[in-house]
Amino acid sequence: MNLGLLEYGIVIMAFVITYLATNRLIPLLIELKREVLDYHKEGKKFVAYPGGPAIILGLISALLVSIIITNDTRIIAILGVVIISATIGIVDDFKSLGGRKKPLILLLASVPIIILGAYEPNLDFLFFGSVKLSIIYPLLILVSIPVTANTINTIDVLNGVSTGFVIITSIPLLISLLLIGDGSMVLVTLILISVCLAFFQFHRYPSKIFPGDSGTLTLGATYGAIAIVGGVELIGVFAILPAILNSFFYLSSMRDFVEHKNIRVRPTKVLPDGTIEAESNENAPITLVRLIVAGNSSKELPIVNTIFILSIVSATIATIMGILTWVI
Amino acid sequence: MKNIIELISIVVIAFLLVFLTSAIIFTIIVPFNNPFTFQFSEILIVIFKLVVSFGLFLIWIFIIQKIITRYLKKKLNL
Repeated sequence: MNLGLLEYGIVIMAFVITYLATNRLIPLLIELKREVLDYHKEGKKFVAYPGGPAIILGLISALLVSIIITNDTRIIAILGVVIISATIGIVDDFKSLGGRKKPLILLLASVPIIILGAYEPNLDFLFFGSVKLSIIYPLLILVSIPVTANTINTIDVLNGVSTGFVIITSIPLLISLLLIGDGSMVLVTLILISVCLAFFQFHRYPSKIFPGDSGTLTLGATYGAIAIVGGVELIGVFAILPAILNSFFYLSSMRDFVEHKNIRVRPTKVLPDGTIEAESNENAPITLVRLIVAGNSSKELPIVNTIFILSIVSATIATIMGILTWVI
Repeated sequence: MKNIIELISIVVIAFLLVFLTSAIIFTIIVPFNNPFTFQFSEILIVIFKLVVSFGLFLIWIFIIQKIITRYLKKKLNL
């Protein structure tokens, strides 16, 4: 499996389109007064929102060219996932869908993979062996895309976290797909990383733009689609474990799908100097950020770096698992 | 970054638990063959598989919640 100049050109194209689109989108959103409060900053700082359309443009254009070049129906399935999740995200950005409706509607994003049969119903467990799940695998696909999309959406609470997180956790997928020798999926993973890298230039601390639900849902759904279509679903799950845990802690403490903006007691408090402190109220939801600052109040940047360190740990574990599964 | 070691431990423990639980469910319980021949045994086996899988999932939730609650109580003096 070798990527040619054309494929590398698509990856660079994805970066350039996303970068230029984001750069153009920021002043446009400010002009349209589409700005939200950056909650974790001292003073009142407003940031352009949503940057998702730039991410979507970069992904869709690069995937379209990839389909023409590779003629791979699996990329058509991934493009379908991107388009459906992006549409749901854009609707959610402008008219909130609500915590319960969103995961349900996101089930639709899994449909292109199932209809086009762009999957192998096998799971390879290290030490336990391989198993074929012909009946329940499509059901797992149906659930997986909403899970990954919402997971990335839920972790997007601080500057640069969602895009940085996807960049780090896509590396185990990339390594596993390189070992398997799946050129098309390597290309799609590189496109995802490239788009995230371009957007990260504006999203990193201090953010000039937020991706919004359109951005995070699309990135999460694309990540999940690559993991399923590439047959590296377990590697994908283990790589994003800190984000899955964050969603799990949140859901188990709230006992419902509640949107962040509708929480009664916030998990953290922002002090006048911008320091973030954990909420000691027992009714506050448990989140990764609350765990990080528990008994250890911090500014925003060290918390972002801690999340990145945790994702590097999970990505390393996932990579080792991928390599061992391939070797054994 | 005072809590980083404890948080890394939580991620590693969660990884081991998720790995073991999912591996047991998908490689042992789901492919488990029906050893009986009587009527309705197929339905019985499906119910058995669902109950055991759900039980394992609940055990995972219970352990993770215990770890997190203990961690938060220690850190926030709750």
